[in-house]
This record gives sequence, structure tokens and C-alpha cells, in this order.
Amino acid sequence: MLELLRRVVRGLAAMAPVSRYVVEGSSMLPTFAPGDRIVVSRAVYLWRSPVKGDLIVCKHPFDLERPLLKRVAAVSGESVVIGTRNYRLGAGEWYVLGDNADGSSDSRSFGPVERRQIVGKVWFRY
Amino acid sequence: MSLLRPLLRTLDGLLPPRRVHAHCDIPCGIYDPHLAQVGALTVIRMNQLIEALQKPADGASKLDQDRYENSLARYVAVKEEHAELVKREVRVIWGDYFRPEHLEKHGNLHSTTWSIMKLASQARQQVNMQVAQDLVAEVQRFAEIFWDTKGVPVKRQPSNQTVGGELVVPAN
Repeated sequence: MLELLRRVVRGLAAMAPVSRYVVEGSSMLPTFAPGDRIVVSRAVYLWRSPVKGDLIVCKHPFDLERPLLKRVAAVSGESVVIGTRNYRLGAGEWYVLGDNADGSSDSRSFGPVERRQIVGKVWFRY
Repeated sequence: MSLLRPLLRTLDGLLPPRRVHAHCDIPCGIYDPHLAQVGALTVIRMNQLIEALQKPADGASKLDQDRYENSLARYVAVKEEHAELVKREVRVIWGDYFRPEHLEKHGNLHSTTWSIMKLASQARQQVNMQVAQDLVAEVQRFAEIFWDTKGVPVKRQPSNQTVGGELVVPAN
């Protein structure tokens, strides 16, 4: 009975415009600490694009099964440094960073993320 | 929001939230034996709490029995968890950070690491304050080796925690 209920809830959750996540790791300190629970809106980016400063959940470009919590640091058209070279973000590219820059894997190492890799915007912590 | 929070927490119990990664998954070169030391001190603290726990007398109420068993279970679980944390932290530093030239200068590196692994396992298996104290001592030795390879002088400072004991930290 409990398993059936779990399946129903899981099915509803998959269709819901929001998702719940628990934070692992310290790359978003001091904004988010390990264990923080957040609700992410998947709907908000249906009518607008991510803007600089947005806290987002995106998929790791090299591992799409791996959701990452990052902050948008630059948007399409802006110039950023990736590795040792300057790079102008193309259409549909976002540059994301961890707030704890000394301990974060982000666009500095894996490059920009694309729109289809962005899951949603952090709505609130609970 | 105040109503939403307990609702979401209840939902979490039924269907846990997904994990979102906010950590460094490349070799960033950041290592620190501090967590291992905290883990080892926590093992001591759990031994202290277990030793201080009063077993309810025969005929005690069910509530008192439950409270005793709940506390004991929690202390044992935390002891397990932190002894394992010590092993993991030390293993990562030993495997990923140390290089052959470090071993040349510190010939006891492997034996210290090995000793930590054995002591941490014993700390999980037993309620044994001596083992816990030996574990802290070996982890402190490991921390001193670590900082020496970085050319960083260290000092031992009080942990300033209920458990007492000391932490090896950079002197400056």
C-alpha cells in the first residue's frame, strides 16, 4: 500500500512544475550549506530566460544524470574566461559558477551550459 | 511558508528529494586533515556518552527503557559514522595527496595510515576509550606529517569542545 502511494506521489512529482532537492557539497557556501532543502521551479523559465544572479539547478554537461546547483554569472553575448582563453557566450549559453569559488566545479572547468541543461530556478529553501 | 515547510518535510519522508550536487568533482588540490581529527574526537565523545549512560533499573517503565535504547542506538550510530569518516578522509589524503618524496621524509606515513585504519575499525567494533584515544593520537600524527609536507608549522590547540582533547592546526 505504501509502495503504491510512493509510486503515485512519484508520478505526480514528475509532472509537477516544481522539484525538491537536498544540497550535497559546499560549493554554494555561504548561500547554501550541505543538507539544505530547496524547491526549484521548472516553470519559471517557460516564459523567461535565466538572468545573471539566478540560482539554478542545471545538468552537468558531461554527465546529464548529475544535477548541479550553481549561480548564473554571465549570459549570452557576454565575454568570460574559460580555462586560459576568452570566450564570448553564444546564443543559448549560460556561464555558471559556485558561490564558493575556491571549492567549486563549474563553467570554469566544464564550460557554459545550454538551455536544455537548465532544470529550473531555485524558488525557496525549506 | 510556515505551513508549507512541515508539509514538504512530510513529503520528503514519503518520497525523498533528489540530491543536487554542489561540490568540487575535479582534482582541486584542496586537502585538510581537520575533518579526520573532528571525526576522531567525536568517537571519543560517543564513548564518553555511552559510558555515562545509565541503564534503567529492572522494572523501569517502558518509556525509560525506550529512552535508554534510543540514546544508546544514536551514540553507537554516530560513533560508527565518524569512525568511518576518519577512514575516508585519511584514505583520500593518503591516496590522492601524498607523493613518494613525502614518504622519503616521513618513513612512518604508511604505518601511521595503516594504524588509523585498524584503530578506526576497532573503534566501530568496540566501546573502548583507549582505542578512541589512540585513534586521535594517530590522526594527530598524520595531520602533523601532512602539514610538514606543505612546510606549514603546526601547533596543538585545545578543541574547545565538551569532549576536550586537542587539534593539530597550522601555527599561523
